[in-house]
Amino acid sequence: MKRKIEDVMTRIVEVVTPDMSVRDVATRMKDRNIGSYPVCDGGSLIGMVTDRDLALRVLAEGRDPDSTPVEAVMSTNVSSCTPEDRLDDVLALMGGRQLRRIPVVGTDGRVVGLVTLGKIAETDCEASGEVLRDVVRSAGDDAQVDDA
Amino acid sequence: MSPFPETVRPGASVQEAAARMRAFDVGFLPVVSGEEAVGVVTDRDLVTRVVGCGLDGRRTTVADVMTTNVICCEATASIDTVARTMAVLQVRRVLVVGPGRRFLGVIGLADLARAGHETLAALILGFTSRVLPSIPPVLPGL
Repeated sequence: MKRKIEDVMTRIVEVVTPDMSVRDVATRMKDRNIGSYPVCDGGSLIGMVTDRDLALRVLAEGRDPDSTPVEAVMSTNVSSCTPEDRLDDVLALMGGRQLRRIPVVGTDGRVVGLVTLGKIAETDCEASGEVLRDVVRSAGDDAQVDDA
Repeated sequence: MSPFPETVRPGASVQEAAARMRAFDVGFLPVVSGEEAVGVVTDRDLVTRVVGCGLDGRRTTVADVMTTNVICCEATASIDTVARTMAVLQVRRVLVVGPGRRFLGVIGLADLARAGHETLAALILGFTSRVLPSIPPVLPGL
């Protein structure tokens, strides 16, 4: 039986808005033990922001986290998938683009979940192992894999 | 293991540590004082323990926010031992040290995957992604 994304995704109840300050998002990441948030404007997905984005684009540059909005440091042009997509196809996308987290978007354009390599690895280490190998081969970056 | 990885001094500022992570494209830095491994710090640590706690990254040092409970192994440790350590202790990287905690290198999931143990690496990734630790009866790929 081919598994679908809805079988493995983490169902998200929380997103952040583009005007939120980096300070507020970092505090939320700490309090809820979350590493990345979809950024939504009026319900539709416009970007993703990760703890790493905040480290590299705010801390490393000495920017003020209180006056910097999330939209200034988020990643745009985000790959997404739908709950009906096949897991195999999304795994291929992750391996090809060295992605570890992909937002899941419903038919109305709203974010309904998140697929992470770590979550998939809980139940399918063969498939996620292949993706890990691809990520290592093409990226060669310890951090990107070790933090999956 | 990855010998001679980038490191950071405990007295460096958080901003400097973040800048090193960006410059070397890593998310993790061993903290080394002289030759001794004294801690580790990740990009997430910097964000949650500095920005998320209302602190200023320019005035906070790495020593203020690093993890000091560091998991280490000797260079002669087997992959089996390291893999079990990662799974049981819920860590994805182990520091490789000599006598007196002299810093030698790091072994992480990526090193296991690169050495042909990708299924094992993913198994550990699955274990470390869970909230509760559990020990696998048999580790594949050994």
